Amino acid sequence: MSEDLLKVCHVNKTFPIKGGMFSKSNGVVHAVDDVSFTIHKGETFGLVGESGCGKSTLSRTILQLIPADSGEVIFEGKDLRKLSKNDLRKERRYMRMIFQKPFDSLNPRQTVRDIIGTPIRIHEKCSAEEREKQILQLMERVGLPSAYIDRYPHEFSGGQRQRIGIARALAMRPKLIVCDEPVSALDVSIQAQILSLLKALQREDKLTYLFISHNLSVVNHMSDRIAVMYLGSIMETAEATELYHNPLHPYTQALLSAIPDPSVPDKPNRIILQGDIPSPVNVPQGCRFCTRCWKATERCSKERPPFYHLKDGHAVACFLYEKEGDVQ
Amino acid sequence: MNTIKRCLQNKKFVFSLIILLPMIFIALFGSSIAPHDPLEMHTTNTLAAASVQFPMGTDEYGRCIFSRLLYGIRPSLTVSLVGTLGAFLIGSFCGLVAGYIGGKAGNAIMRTVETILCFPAILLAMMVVCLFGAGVRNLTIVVVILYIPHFARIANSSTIKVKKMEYVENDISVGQTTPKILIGTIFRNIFSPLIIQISLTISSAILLESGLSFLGLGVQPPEPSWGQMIGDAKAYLSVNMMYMLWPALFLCLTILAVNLMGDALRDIFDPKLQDSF
Amino acid sequence: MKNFILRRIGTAIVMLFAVMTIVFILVHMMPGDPVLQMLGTDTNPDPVAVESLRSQLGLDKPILQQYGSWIFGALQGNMGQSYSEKISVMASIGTRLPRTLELAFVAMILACIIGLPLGVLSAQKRGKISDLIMTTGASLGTSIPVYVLGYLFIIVFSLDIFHFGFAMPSSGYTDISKNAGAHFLRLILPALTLALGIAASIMRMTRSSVLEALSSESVRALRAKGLKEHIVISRHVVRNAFIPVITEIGLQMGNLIGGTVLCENVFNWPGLSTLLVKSINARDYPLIEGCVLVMSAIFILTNALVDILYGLLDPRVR
Repeated sequence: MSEDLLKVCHVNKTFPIKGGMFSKSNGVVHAVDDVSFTIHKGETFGLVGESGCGKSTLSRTILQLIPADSGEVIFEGKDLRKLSKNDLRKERRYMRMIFQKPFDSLNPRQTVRDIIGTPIRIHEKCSAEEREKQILQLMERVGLPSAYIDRYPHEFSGGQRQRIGIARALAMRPKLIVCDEPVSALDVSIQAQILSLLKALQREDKLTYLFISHNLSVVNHMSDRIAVMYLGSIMETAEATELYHNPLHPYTQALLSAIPDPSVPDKPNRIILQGDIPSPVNVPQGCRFCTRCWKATERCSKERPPFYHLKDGHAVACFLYEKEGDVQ
Repeated sequence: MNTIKRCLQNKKFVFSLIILLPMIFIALFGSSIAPHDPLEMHTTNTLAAASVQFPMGTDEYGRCIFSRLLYGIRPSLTVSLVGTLGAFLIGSFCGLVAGYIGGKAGNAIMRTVETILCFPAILLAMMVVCLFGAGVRNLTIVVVILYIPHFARIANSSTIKVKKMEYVENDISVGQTTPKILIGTIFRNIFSPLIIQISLTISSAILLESGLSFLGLGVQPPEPSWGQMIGDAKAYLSVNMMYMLWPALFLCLTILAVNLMGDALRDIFDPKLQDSF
Repeated sequence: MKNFILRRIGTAIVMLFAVMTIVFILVHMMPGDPVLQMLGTDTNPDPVAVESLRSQLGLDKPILQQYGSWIFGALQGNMGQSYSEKISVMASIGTRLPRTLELAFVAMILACIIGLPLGVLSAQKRGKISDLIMTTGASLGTSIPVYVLGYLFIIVFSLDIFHFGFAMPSSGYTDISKNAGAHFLRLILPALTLALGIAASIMRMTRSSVLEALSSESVRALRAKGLKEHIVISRHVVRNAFIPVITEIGLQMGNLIGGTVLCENVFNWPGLSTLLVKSINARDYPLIEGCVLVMSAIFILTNALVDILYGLLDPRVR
């Protein structure tokens, strides 16, 4: 059993909605609602969900870019929320992020040298030559020609910019890298290259990834374990292959049935969800998914199902599995 | 660098530079070129027409108009350049900090700064002049106070936009210190609209100073200023039109050049607006 | 929508109070004792007279009380007596204000009449010689100070250097009730002077926003539908381009006030601004306060109205 690198416990984050200067708060958006999961060292933990389900907010809460309302984020045994500013800054060295938009994630006024070099400069005291050596090494690892070290982001293609972002994330040998939709903004052919690069780097440096995407096939390809998120809550967690072949939560089943499969001309059992996603403001009182679930009962709209842990690390938040699993 | 090349390729920029460089030259070296002391009164030769001795004639006190013209640019340039610099530094800083902090505190800072905008510029200037007296130093302070909100607004709205960018998020996640984020990252990316505002402010400041001097509330005699000379000349329009027209011409040329420079900078730094003249 | 209007009016009221406070503070910080000034340039004034005048003017009361009574008075329209003119401030301002308003109003209308169509025209003729001429003219228009333009007009039209055969009056004022013709004759030059600079700014803004609207996706779609060009322009382009132009007009209000200060001086138009300059030179505190307050109030009010109009036209602003 590999040790836990990151443990997220009952994290909550809400955003108030303001109605204007003279009116009071109109309600809150439950972006992250009682989320808990664990990431083991060296694995890729996938987080999949529709746009707006709170994945990005969750990732930023974990990295302490947005303060969570409550809960714990335990990184290598330390609760990040309780650390002092200086201690947190030291820990930041080991947690990095790769962003979705290749251009917005790079400072247009900085050269590649500055972009990759800044983390080194912050966390290590070394000479400019030493730093340049490290930068060139990183560029080589991600497949960027060393001649480009003094170029600006706008001189690169999308895929190359993402490589710069990856090189930047690798600086200072991090332990955890949060990949927030790293290939969603790229062409499909480039996507494959970047994904294999990420896998190769993980093998070489024994990295741990939190891989976030709305694309289930990509997540499935990259991850060891996957969590399915809906409207701010985790619906199901399992090993990747187990989730793919044996989805338990109705939402996961619907997601999987929608994956286009070229080998099957007309996919049978395609589940089309009725209804719209409820707004994150007016969350259903019971299970988040009950308004669209074709297996919903009366109980589902009143009570929130807890997380039932079944065998082999498979866990579901659905009353259908009440008898089979234990609540922990 | 790249920017300098782009500047030199822009026709408006070059043209305005052709006018502005001699003006700056006059400001710096006018005292060496001027044939006479601008304050010296040749009382036997008042309101004379142009001659070899007095290239532009003399004013009502017998002072050489040409010499006064050469000296007259200094107060205008001092007030506008130094004043704009001050407004830029203070205003941008306020807007940057207010935009980064955001929330109620940021709002409060911006509202306080924006109270200055309640006043029409010239009214506030006149009141300050009345209170503290006229002169170059006070006029400069007035310019600084008047234009702080303009820079603050631009810095604030730009900072709010840039703050959300992922490269700023990355800087935070890497552990960069806040001052370095503000100045190193954010400021470098909000610079373009601020540069454009700098040229707009310089032009407005020149107009303000010369307008006040025209009314007698600006640069005080006997120190010459173009606006002041125009004000003095108005009584003698029918006698010697050129007394007014020379400073008027130079003043208009300078303002035109600064405005043109502003347009050029807008072309260079904001490609979206390239189509407006 | 109602919320938006209320908020904007609320902001305007707050700004008005801020202005009143700032004016009060500034004026009472001014060097020189108004009482001594009023009694004349006596270096050895009679202390009794000084005291009695001081208490008469209420200047011996604590500063906060003076502030309070001034605010209350101002809100009721009573701003005290002018030191130099021996009549009430309100009366002084009352005679002058309509003249300045008339000048500003006519100038604004002229500016719109000149600037808007020229802006649309130059946008349509973009790139051609006529456009170049118009835009150069606009550039000049924003670069010439108001008073220089004024004197240029005077030189050309009043001093009759080109021998047109007639000379426009360059100064003075005739009441409209006495001689409407002469009144308007004297109004033309100052209004035109004030209008041209603003027209230039309006023209440039109109040109750029029309250009942007002409190349926008929605217009392209309309053309693809087959709509005639002049309908495209008059109905769709103008409506979308109008919004930034309204903002520009609002911004020019500030220039308008500054312009009247200079313009009235050049043409001897006896308006509020000349009163202000006179009162500053005479250190007439109540009159200064009154003038600045009234002019700022008008400024704040017009800005609020423009904002509300902008909000009506562009729902995103609300």
